[in-house]
Parts: sequence; structure tokens; C-alpha cells
Amino acid sequence: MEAATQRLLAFGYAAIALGGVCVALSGPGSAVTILLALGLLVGWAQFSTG
Amino acid sequence: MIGTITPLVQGAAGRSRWTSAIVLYGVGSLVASASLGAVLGVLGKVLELPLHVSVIVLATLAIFLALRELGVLDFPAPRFSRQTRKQWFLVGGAERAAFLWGLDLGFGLSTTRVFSSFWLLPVGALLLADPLAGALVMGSYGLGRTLLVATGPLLPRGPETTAFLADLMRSERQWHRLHATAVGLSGVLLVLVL
Repeated sequence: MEAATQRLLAFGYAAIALGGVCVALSGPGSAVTILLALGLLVGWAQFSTG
Repeated sequence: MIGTITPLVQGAAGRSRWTSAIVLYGVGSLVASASLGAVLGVLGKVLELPLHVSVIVLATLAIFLALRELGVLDFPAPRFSRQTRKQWFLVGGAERAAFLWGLDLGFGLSTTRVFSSFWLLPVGALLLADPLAGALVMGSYGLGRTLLVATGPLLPRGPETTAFLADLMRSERQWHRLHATAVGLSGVLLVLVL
């Protein structure tokens, strides 16, 4: 795997970790917050589509 | 699509119009995705499921989708074979094409998609039964798609582009794992919301 792809994947996992920590630190959170964070990640990580 | 939009728009329009094309792509993507989310939110009101039931359904779906992304489970998920129209660029130019591509791809239900994790979003927009929540959830997907295209100039350029895009295709399994992680974590967090 090329370095650029590895960087993108690493960025994706970092974003997931950051999103998870933010939701956890913000208290019980809400379904909307969780789905909003997921939407950002899923939208960004649509590499081979469309 | 990032391999198409970035070289086409940058090559033809230059860096000066790249920003306006990205803004128009983002507007189209947000309008389409948020509108779909709002409509799903209105439709969800018909179901009138209690919130805790909706969250249980969503958390269960998230776990199933994560297992599907990992290849542990294999069940059919809606999938479209259509791709967005490259010809819009030739007919309408970079900015109009960018807007139309944003509308088409941000809508989410009109073009092909490899990752089934997407389906938690429209189902979530439906089950939350709130037009504003639906617009926010689906709008975040549209914003994410815009961020993907906006990062195009940071990716390898010139002769390296083809090799990079081929590498992206080859690494599809790793991207499925990333989606599984994201949607699985969402399922766990949804359980904690209850």
C-alpha cells in the first residue's frame, strides 16, 4: 500500500478516535450527535464510489 | 469520483475557480443530503416509534452493518449501479458540473456505493422522526463528501495520480475495516445513549 493511502487511512482512524472521545466526553450524548459524527466520516471515506 | 472531479476541474478551470467549484459542489451536496434527511424525518413521524425503540433498532443495525463490512455477515443491502455523469462537465463547464455532481452524490441514493455503512444514516434520519435531526444527520454526510473532494489537491498529482487511485482501489478491504470500525463504534455509543 502506498504512503498516501496509509496516511488517509491513519487520518480516518484518528478521526474515529477523536469523534469517539468527543462524544464520550460530552456526557451521555445523543443519537443525533453520534449519527452526525458518523455521517461526516462515512461521507469523507467514500473513496471508490459514485 | 475524487479522481475525476479534481483533475477535471483543476485542469480546466485553474486554481482560481477551484474554490468556487468546491463551494458549489458543497452547496449541491448539502442541499440534496439535508433535504433527503428532512423528508425522511417527516416520514418517520408516521411511524411514531418511541425514541428508545428507534435507538435499539439503530444500534442493532449498526452492529450488523459493521459485521457486514468486515465480511463476517453477508446479507443484501440496496445498491445502485449508476454513476454520476462526467458529461455534465463537457456540457455545462466546471462550476455547473460541480454543483450537479454535489446534488447527485450528496443525495446518496442515486449512485453506486461500495460501503454499506451509509445505510445507518438514512435509517437513522427516518427513525429519529425529526426533520431537523434528519437534515443534520444526512447533511453531515453531504459535508463529508465535500471534504473528500476538497482534499483532492492534497493528493498525489500528475503521473502519480493513476498509481495512487489504483492503490486506493486495491486497498478496498482496509477501507471496509475503517467503515466497520466507525459504524461499530456508533452502535456501541448508541447503546450507551439508552
